[in-house]
Amino acid sequence: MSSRPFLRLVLIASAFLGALSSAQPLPFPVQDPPAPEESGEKKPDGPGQEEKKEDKKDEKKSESDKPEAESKSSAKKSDKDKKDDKKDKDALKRPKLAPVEGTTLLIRAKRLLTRPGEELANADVLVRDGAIVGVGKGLVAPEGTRTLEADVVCAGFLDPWSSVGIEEESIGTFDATADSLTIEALDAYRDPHLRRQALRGGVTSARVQAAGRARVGGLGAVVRLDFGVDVATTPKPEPEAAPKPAASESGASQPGADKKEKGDKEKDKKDGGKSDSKAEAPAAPVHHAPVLAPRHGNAVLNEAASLSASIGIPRQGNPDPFDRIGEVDRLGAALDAGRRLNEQRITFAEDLAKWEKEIAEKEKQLEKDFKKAKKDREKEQKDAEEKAKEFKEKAYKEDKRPTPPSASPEDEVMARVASGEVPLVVEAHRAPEIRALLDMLRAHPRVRLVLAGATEAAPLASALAERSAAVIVFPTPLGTGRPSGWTEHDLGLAGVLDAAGVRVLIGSGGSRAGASDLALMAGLAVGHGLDREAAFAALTLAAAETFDVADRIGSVEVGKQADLLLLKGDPLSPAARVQYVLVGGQIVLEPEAR
Amino acid sequence: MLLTALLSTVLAAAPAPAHPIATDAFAIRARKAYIGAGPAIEDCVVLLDGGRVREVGRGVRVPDGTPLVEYDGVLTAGLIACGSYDGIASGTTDPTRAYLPEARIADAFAPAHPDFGRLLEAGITSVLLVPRPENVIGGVTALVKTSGGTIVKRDAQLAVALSTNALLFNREPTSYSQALMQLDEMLARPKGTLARAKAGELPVLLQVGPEHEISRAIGFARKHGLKGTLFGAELAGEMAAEIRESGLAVVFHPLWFGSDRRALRSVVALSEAGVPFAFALHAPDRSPEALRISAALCVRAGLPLEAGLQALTANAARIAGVADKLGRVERGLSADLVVWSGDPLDLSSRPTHVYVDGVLAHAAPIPAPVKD
Repeated sequence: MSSRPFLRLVLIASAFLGALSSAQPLPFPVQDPPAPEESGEKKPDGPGQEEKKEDKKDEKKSESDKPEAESKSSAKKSDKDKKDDKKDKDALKRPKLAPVEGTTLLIRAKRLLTRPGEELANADVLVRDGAIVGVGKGLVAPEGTRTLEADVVCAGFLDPWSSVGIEEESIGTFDATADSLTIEALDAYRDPHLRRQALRGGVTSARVQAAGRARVGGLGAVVRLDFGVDVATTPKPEPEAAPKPAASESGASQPGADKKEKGDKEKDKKDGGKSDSKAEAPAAPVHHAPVLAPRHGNAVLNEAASLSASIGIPRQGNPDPFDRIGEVDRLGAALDAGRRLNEQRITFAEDLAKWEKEIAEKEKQLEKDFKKAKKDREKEQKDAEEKAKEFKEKAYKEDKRPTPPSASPEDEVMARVASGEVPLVVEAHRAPEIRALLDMLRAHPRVRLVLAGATEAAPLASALAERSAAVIVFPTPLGTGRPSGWTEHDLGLAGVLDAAGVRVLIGSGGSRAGASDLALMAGLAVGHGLDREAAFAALTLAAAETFDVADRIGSVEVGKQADLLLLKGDPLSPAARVQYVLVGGQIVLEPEAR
Repeated sequence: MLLTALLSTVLAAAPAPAHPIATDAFAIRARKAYIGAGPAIEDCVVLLDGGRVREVGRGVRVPDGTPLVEYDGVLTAGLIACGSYDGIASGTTDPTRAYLPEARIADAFAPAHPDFGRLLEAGITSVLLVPRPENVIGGVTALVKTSGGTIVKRDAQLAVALSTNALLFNREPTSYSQALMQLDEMLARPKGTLARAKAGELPVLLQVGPEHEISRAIGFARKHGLKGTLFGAELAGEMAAEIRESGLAVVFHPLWFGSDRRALRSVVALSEAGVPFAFALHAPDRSPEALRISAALCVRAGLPLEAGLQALTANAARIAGVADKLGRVERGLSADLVVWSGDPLDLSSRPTHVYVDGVLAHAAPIPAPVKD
């Protein structure tokens, strides 16, 4: 074969085109101008961007469709419906969670806070297989359904800035890179009392971040705080009984086909950045996190929820003003590398398309001139033999396939940040640094900025609003007698930012213990000028949206996961009592015996 | 502490402003009021005269010609921070000497200090100024108003630190035993403030930390017949029976979001045991809101709402020895009043109007929306 250069070329071309047509889609949408914001996921051998997006859409669709179907089937509970919904059937079969109250629940609420600014009086929520399958008045549940009653029902809170459950050393370390994964530092058996008290405080999920004070701390994750281990009803996982490998991931506290798809989706997301066609083959076992998987896999809602960076944070000694601005520059350089990678991939896609076109043309031409070319080549070969020279194959410029850009794992992550796929969370406090950060990010319009701390952000509120940045506010106990060099923490910051149109989130400052008091922090922010609705949103939907988990949590809506609070009293009031906490439809906390 | 040395500077820097005492009678009506122990009173009227409360209650008749101010809010007595370092325009520690029994923190009080404005905004109308616990005897505490420069009580307590903070390696005493030995010697032939403390005229403020320091302080007080308060006894609730028997009250350090639940449970347990307690603030190191947050956290942890409010008002006044002047909305007491936009311990409400001695000392720039 090697003695036939044109054939070689043809073979390469056909093999490549064949591969494209049979198994793999084109790596890029060649015809359309590629959307730069999505280029972060692009990989030469990876699945096609468009197809991937479509996959996602389909999944979303099926997710939103399914609960309705489920709701139907649960309402009528006829066998026929069950047969129709095969996935549903699988879901029922797979997890051996026999007790009805584990999977089906009816909640009657005097006040149902469905989402920020919307509430229903005397409404019900129907929970099945971990998901909300009905919201409305006078819902009818199947016989034997456990019924809970509560004054107030709302979505579980999300602490957007926590380090609960992370292994000790990994919290404070400065030794991290962009591709460090927080979920690898999660310890399923750590901080059980802190996670329990957070649940008691109504916080069901948290964005946890290891190495949060490092210059770049790597990827943070949104996790559920039950971690799948506190649940009394958790069945033992039975690996061999699982009909699908994916079950290993949802076999813990939270059953449901819904969850499985989620898992695949997350995996897709991850693999999209990593390589090859694994994402296309859901047959591979899903392992969310080495530590949590497989038993606690469903605790992880988003394993790449954010990239953490920090500026001007005292590490080894206090950084001087030049160091601090230098940190902005460093972050900028890292983002530049990410964006460059995205651009190179676009260029590569174009080159590849061009090459494919050329090769197709050459193929045609060669086939046309096949006899002549063969003769010519044989002659050349003969000549070379006669002259005792080495025969040299004729080189075609088309032989040279464009090479995909090479990238470090850090650059891969920065590319996803630069494209806006993964939000960038930056802890910064002083006004000059926040300003410098905003200036630097002008070169990266697609970056989704989330400021954390932002003590002095008030004067920059309009600039932050223009940038569409979100800010995680943490009320610190510091008064005026603070360490020098820090301005007084203004408890009115949340209100000022919200009034300027900045999305405000409220977090526990990257602490392990603070999550439990998140609702009171929100109350304090309201006392200092934050709109009440915005404060509630900060704890629920706004936080979920910011970290890309709003398709599953953050509000009480059909199709979302049943991560719910049942309380007595206003959620933000200290007199409120959280009575029941549901995570993935499972009751993880019941009223305290006092 | 060098208080006396710095006194002249302090007075020069911040001359006390002439304090207007409201002489004319007027009345305040609030939607709801917590006037002392017990549940709230709806639609409460307070008659004020000469900076004091003349009458209070539901359906109190307002005499003709008396101006009436109506608030759609919740009225309480002004909050009292039971231990703080505000408004001290000098150093607050003296690491050279262990015993300063005659130092008076009132001498360092700078009434016009900007710290006090922040306290007023948080509804705090009085502060118990205490020395930091770096001296075994840090001096005499004082209760001052946050507006008007009034020193309500010049000799409130004698501060005695039986904690490691007061035991330095380069100054005697260096150990608990040495400190107790020296204190015993001083109390055997007491002079000045120590004599008054031993005679029961001046309460002591025993600055302590962990459980063993609480036990040591209780033993010390019993041995010398001292009355007073354990200050900073975080886990006092776990020794509630012992403390109740000692007759000492407790002041807790301020709590904040994320505080250990064990500390919160300790407060609840102490309350259940019936021991009077209050909260310190430690401003300006701490945010003035720490006072209300401390109580709110405990309420979240199970403390009854009224008990939380009492800790910030009546009990704090009692511990500071000024229960006859402050801490409740009651006939004859100072008209230190706060009108809140909602329930006072709901952190989403805020003080809209703060009266000190019947004078409006602070009004929120924009009235917070009233919570229904």
